[in-house]
Formats: sequence, C-alpha cells, structure tokens
Amino acid sequence: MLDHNYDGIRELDNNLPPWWIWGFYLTIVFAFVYLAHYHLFRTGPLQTEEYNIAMQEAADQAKARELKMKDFVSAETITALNTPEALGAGKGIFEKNCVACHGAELGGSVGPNLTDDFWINGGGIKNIFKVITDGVSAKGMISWKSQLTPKQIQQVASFILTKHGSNPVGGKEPQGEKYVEETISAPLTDSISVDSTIIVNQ
Amino acid sequence: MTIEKFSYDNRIVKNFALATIIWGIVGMLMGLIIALQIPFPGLNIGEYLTFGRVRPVHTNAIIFAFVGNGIFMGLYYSLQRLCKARMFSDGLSKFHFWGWQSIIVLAAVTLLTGHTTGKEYAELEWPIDILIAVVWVAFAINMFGTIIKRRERHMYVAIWFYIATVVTVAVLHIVNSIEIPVSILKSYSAYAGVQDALVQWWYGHNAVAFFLTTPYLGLMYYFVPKAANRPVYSYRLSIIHFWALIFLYIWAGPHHLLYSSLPDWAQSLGTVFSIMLLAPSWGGMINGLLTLRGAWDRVREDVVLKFMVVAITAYGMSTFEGPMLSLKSVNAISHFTDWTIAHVHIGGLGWNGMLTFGILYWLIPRIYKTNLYSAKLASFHFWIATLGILFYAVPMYWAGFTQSLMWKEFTADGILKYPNFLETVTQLMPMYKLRALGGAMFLTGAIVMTYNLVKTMKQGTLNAEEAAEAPALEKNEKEHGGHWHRWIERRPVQMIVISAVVILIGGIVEFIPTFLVQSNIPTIESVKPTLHWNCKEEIFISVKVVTLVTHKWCDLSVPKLNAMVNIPKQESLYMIIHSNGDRSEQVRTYIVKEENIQMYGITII
Repeated sequence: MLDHNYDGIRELDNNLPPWWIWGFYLTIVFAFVYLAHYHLFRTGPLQTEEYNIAMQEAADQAKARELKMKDFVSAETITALNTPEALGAGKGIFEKNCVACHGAELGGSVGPNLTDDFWINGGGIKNIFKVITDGVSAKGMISWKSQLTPKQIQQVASFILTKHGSNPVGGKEPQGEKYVEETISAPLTDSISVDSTIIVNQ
Repeated sequence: MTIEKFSYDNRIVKNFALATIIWGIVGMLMGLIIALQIPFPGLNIGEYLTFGRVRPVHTNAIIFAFVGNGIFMGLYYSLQRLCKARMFSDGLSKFHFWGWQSIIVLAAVTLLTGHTTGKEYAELEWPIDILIAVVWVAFAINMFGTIIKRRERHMYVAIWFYIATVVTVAVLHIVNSIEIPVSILKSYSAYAGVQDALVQWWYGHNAVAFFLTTPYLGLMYYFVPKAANRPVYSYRLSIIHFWALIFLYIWAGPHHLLYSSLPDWAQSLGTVFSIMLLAPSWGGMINGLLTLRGAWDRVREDVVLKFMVVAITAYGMSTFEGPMLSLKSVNAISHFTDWTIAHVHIGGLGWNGMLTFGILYWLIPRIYKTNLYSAKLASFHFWIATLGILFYAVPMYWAGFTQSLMWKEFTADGILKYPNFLETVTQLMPMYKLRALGGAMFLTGAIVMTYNLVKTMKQGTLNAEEAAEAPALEKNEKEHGGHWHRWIERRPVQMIVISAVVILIGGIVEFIPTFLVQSNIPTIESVKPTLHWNCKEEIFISVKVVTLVTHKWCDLSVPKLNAMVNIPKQESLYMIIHSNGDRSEQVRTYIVKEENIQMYGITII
C-alpha cells in the first residue's frame, strides 16, 4: 500500500500482470512486422493490388464458366432466337428492366425508340447484345452484365428485334443512323472484359 | 500549518445530474424512435421526425447531452474532493451549465429542422460550433483554476484523465470545425476530399476516445474505489496505461477509412495503432476490476457495484472488438453492416450507460444526505438494462453477419444473388424488431431509475454547501523522492503541456503528408482533380457528373463566387448544382460545356 490518500482513496502498487505486459510487447512487435510486410518489403498486397487480383479472379472465373456453359453466347457467336419460349422470356426481362426508359411498346422515352430503322450504336442482334452487355455510359445506358446472364441478354435482344417496324403510338423521333443489316458499326470487344475503371496512384 | 475551512459546491453537481437524467431519457427515446422506424417505416412522420433528422439528434443527445452532462456531474463532484477545493468560480460553473444546456437545445432544434454540416458527430452549424468552443474554454478555466488552487499536493490519476480530456477535446473540436460560413446556418468545411475524410475521422474516432472513454476512465478511478471502499489495484499500471492510451489513441482514426482513397500508409497506421491500443485499454479494465478484489461478496448485494462491474466488462469487450474491427480482413466483413451498430452500443449502453447509472445511484443519496429510495427498483433497473443490452447487441451482430454474407453472395453464373438492397433489408426485419425491444427495455430501466432518484431527492434535502476543511499547501515545500512520476503529479502546468504534446504527435504525423504530398491523393482516370476558384456572392457545390440524356443545355450566368468549389470533369461536361445556401431557394442545376466554362475565364487544372 502506497502512502497516497485522495479523499480516502488509497493506492496499491501491484506489478503489471505478466500476460498484460507481454501482450503489449506483442502488439508493438505486430505493428512493426505489419508495416514492414506491407510498406518496407512490400510482400503483402495493398488495396489497389488486392482490387486488381480480385477483378482478375472474377474475369478468370467468368471465362471458366463460359467454357463450361453449353448455352453460352458472346457478341461474336450470338444469333437471334425465335422460339416462343425464348421470346416470352425476353419479353418478361424487357418488362422488368427496360420499360422505364424505352417504353412498354419500345417507342422510347428517356432512351431511344427501338422499333425504327435508326440506331445510335448500330442495330442487329450483335450490336444490341453488345450495348445491353456493356452499356453506353455517355448516353445513360447502363451495363446489364452484372444483372443478366448472356443467355438472358440474348433473349431480350431477340425480343427487341421482333418489334422492329411496329411503329407504336407516341414513338420517339428517330435517333442515330439508319442501320442496314450487313454493316457492323464498331469493332466488337470482348463482352467479359475486366472493368475499365483503373485506379492510378500518381 | 493552518486549517482552512471551505465548502464543496453540490448544487452544480445536482444540476448536471438532473441534466444527465433528462437528456438521457430524451436521447434514448430518440434512439427507440429510429429503431422502430426501420421495421415500421410509417413512423417517419412529417418532415421533422424522419429517420435522417432524428438519427443525428439521437447520437448527439447521447454523446454530448447524456454522457457530456454525466462527465460534468462526476467531474465537478470528484475534482473538488480530489483537490480539496471548491470549484474555481461559481460564475463559470453556472455559465458552463447553462451554456452547455443551450447548446443541446440549439442542436436539437437545428438538426430537426434540417441544418447540418453533414460531418458525423460534428453536424452542428458554425454558430453553435463557436458557442461550444466558448463554453468549453470556460469549463477549462474553471477546471484548471480549481487544480491550481488545490490543497492536495499530488494530482490523482482521475485528474490526469480529466486534463487529457479537456485539452484534446478542445483541439479536436476546433481543428475539425474550421469552416467557411455562407449564411447564418450554412457553412462549408475548409477541407475537401480525402483530407476532409482524414480530419473528420481523426475527430470522430477521438470523440469516442476523449469524450466517451478518457473522462469516464477518470470517473471510474474515483467512483469505483469509493463505492467499493477498496484501494486502487496498481498505481504503476495507471501511469503506463494513461500515457500509452492518450498517445496511441490519436493515431487510430484512419481505421474508419480502410479500403478508401486514404493513402495506404495512413490506413496501415490506423490498423497498427488500433492493435497497440488493446493493452492500454485493458489496463484500465484490469485496474477497475481488480480494485474490486476482496469486495466480490459485496458486488452480489450492492447494485452500484453491479452496474460498475457490467460497465467495466463492457469496456473491456468493446476495446477488444475495436482493434479486431480495424484489421482489414475483419473490416471487409463488418464495414457498412449492423456489426458496427452493435459494437458502438456495447460501448454506449454498456460502458457509458451503466457507469453513469452506477454513479447516479451512489452520488444522489450522498448529496441529499439520505438513502436510496428503493434498492429493489434499482436492482430491477440493473437486470432490465443488462438484458436490454443483450437484446440489442445479439440481433445486431446476427444482422451484421447476415448482411455481409448476403451482399457478397454470387450465383453460379457469377451474378450477385441479391442485387436489390431491399432483399437484404427484408431479411433483417425480425432482427430490427428485437433490437428495438432491447432499446425499449433499456429505456424502461432508465425511467424506473428516474422515479427512484426523484423519490430519493424528495425524501432527503440537498446539501448544497458541503462543509470541508484542509490545510493549505505550503509554498516551497521540499520535494521528497518517491516514484519518478510524482514529479509531474505536483505540476499541473507541465501536465497540461506534456499531455498536449503527446496527443498532438499522431495527428501531425498523419495530416502533414496527406495535405502536402500530391501522390497521397489517388485519382480515377475519368475524374480529373478538383477545380477551385474564387468569385463573389454565390456558391457552387460539386456533385457527381450524371448522364445528360434528359438535361437541356444551359448557359451559365456569370458566376460570382466567394468560396472554394470542386467540380469533377468528365467528357468535357460539368453538372453544377447551384444554390446560395438559402434553404427556401430552389436549387438550380446546370449542365455546362467545357467551352462555356473557359469563356468565363475559368481554367481547368
């Protein structure tokens, strides 16, 4: 017991518990090891590297799934479907996801009219598939590849083509260029390319 | 040696105690309302009682009104007795009390009417920030004045914690609140982007450290040995855990910003300093719990000690959990989930709430010279509050893990299994209802306590001027050896200066490179660095560039600005949200072509 007395409070002077003092040393050692691991020897991945590793893994997995899946379609191999089941499924996907911008009758509202001959990013099954998959961010079309499978995109693209020339009431004025089936407006890109957002540490 | 007669001011202690009780009930009620608004959204009534407005009222009321008044109650009681001196100035005590209560009222009114800076735990607008600084300085003068004219040669460990608290809170509040006013109730922070985030979480984390932790450790060091009538377990432990705690705590803020645009080195410092905080935090817990050695038989009967044991245990639990959450791999699971909510409520309900209740049950009968009205009701309060904490925390932990797992679950096709956020919310509804039940139990306990304490006050009489006597300190008393730390315990000015230096180091080391070194500000290629310019009168606030399909082109009227502006650039187009900071005015939106901006003499970095 020390001779301290504060308003009747006395103080003992017990030794620091050994497990406490050794635990404290251990956390200090941990701190130095951690900093050396990540910042001196650079043996651990920092967040940018972790992100790139995760994106690469996701891309590899997507590639592997592609190879395994019988019904996988890509922008190169896609063809329009015409079975009633596929078109029915496509109609359902359209009503759930696309109506808000392209209108229930595909006449367009925020987004362009999908029933006329004019296409901003090229018409035809391949271009439509590409636009739905990757989106056109400058125009407000989002990428659907994280929400729809390639098969589902093929179904909805096929459904859209069936409405060509339906000329719905109140349809939006034509936008883009007149599309003739044979031309391909832009070089096709890999539909499962890694996210293009690159983080740069200057 | 002459014996001096003086008196302790118990009236100010009583006032702060009443404020603690009243604001505690208000703050918990606000918490219960927002807890119910999640499962029952219909309870978002009108403009003023929506979740977004009530939530900051809840956090501010609990931290600054309930715990704040709790600190002042315990501090004004213990400091006078530890210094054997009346408070330095009765006028400053009164100013402190009424100033603090008016800040709370202003905070509630402005937050509910939608005036906020948007910085968490620092939401109050600039006039209130200034008022807080003024009141805090008055409090500091009152406290240091009392210490200077003390009649006890050495400062007890509780006072070290009080000093560190008063110094650090002043530094935190002033630095984080630097802002540019544009109208009486609107201002913009002087910091932007990642620097703002760093300053904000240096503040936010250390509000937990120096408002919810260090002053309450000071209270623990006074009230636990008093209530248990046992000596403090270890003087040398109190020295090492005090200095280590205040030095290490200040560095840990960046653990709130893991996996963000904060530079990696700063994130890593946040992690390792949080890990090193484990032992100093537990040092406080050990010194509290082991002080009860030899008094455990009394813990079973004495409700005050029961509250204190649960409080100290909750402190130990949440200070173990905190460092774990600051490891990146754990944080990747917990961040943005209800796990965080569970964590802070172990600290808030357990450590701060239960210790406050224990102190109130001990202190009120003493200053009213009577016994507690009903030990049975106090015991009921203890059990319902403890159960309430469990009913609150367990569902929130469960909800946190569930959320985290659902957010990251993919289907075999590589697509998110729950792409719609609402799917995770509906899954958690039962947890949210149980949590509200836990909160209601805790609030019920507090109401029962209020009844019990009011009855206690009624049956006693306030001993407003408690007579005391002590010999004056002799000037030039010869210093005799003892422990080396006794040197600083005799010197309050050196104590203030050295603790200020100790708490400034961490912030300085983290801030300066983040503000000055360009490579510490990571950018995304499509977003150019921010643009600043100065004009008069009007303010432009940056927003994310949105797509332009539905917007008309507008020419921008000649901009007259006087504040800093950030406008992100994307594909030569800018969207500018334009407002004078006047709430009644409709916010105007412009999309501006790059050429037009250059036309007005604005250059792009």
